Amino acid sequence: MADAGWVARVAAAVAGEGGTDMLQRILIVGVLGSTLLCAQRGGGGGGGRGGGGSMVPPGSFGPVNKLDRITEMLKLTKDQKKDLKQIFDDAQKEATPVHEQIKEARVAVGDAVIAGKQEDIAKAVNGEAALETQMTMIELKAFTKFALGLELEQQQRAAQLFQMMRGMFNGKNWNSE
Amino acid sequence: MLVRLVLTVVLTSGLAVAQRGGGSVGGGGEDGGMGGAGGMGAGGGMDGSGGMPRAQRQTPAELFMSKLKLKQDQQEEAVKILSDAVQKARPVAAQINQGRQAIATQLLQKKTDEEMKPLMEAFTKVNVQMTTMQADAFAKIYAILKPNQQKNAGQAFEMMHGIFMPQAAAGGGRGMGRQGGGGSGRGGRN
Repeated sequence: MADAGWVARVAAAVAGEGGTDMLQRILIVGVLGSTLLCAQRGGGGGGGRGGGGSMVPPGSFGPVNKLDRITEMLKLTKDQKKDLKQIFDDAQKEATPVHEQIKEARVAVGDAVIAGKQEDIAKAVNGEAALETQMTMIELKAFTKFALGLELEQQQRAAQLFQMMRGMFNGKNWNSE
Repeated sequence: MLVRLVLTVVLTSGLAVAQRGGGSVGGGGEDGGMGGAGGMGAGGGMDGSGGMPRAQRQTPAELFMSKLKLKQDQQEEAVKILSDAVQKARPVAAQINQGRQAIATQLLQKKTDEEMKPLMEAFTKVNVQMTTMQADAFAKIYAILKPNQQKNAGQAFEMMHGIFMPQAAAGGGRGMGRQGGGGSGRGGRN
């Protein structure tokens, strides 16, 4: 097992450098709160609506794609919305081949497990993990590039966008539902 | 039906953990996703739709078992294996989520690749742990497969990640529980 405190130490080091602006505080502190809120709402995958029923009357449609959802969530201006689309489209182009490699790497792990050779399993697992890290960087670089251009009030809601970033570019088009 | 029931129980306990805080490792964290997918029900509700049937999406666990064409008794065994494994992997999932926060923080500080290298290496190690745990669970499930089910079983491993690391999209996560249920939010690293 890895040392469980490594992230805490990094976060503490970051805080100690005096550079903790609003976005950083949101990432360190605020994400937990929004996650808990999601869990308390019934959590996931939109299931909350499925179980309890939506109070939204039929015919009053909300945002239909991620771009609109994020725009509404962060109250983006027209220019910010354009920036978001550009940044995320660029990230999608970078992420698509990486995601394909991840899929292949996972099949390789599965095959190695079936073959039962420890050396091959370790090699396949390491390869898959490195690709996961690469994908994480693409997702978070896109997030930070966009988030740095937000106004203070918008940054306070950026934790929600941060939550959405994992897996954002796994499909062919991040903006499709 | 039994499998659904077990999935519900797993889901409920996961949600309870998420509500307790999810920060069992290193403080903080955003482990709530593991217990996400709150709405098992896809039913009518109060939206005035007159009980229109809604298509149910399969959970990652259901997709995984479907891919392997598991029989009822095998499904029950697989759910047990997966539940135990997901539970054990929860601290690692929390570390991954915390690692993402640390990476984002360093990116916001405009750290160079060289400066971020130690963090990235540590993050990759945690990813290795997670994939290893998935591989261990997969090996246990593979062991209960019949010869005719073992063919192409390797491809099913791809779905393990979605079971262990449900995505917390807007509105929550998914995992052992049902996706979507007809609601608006969705997610999923596929």
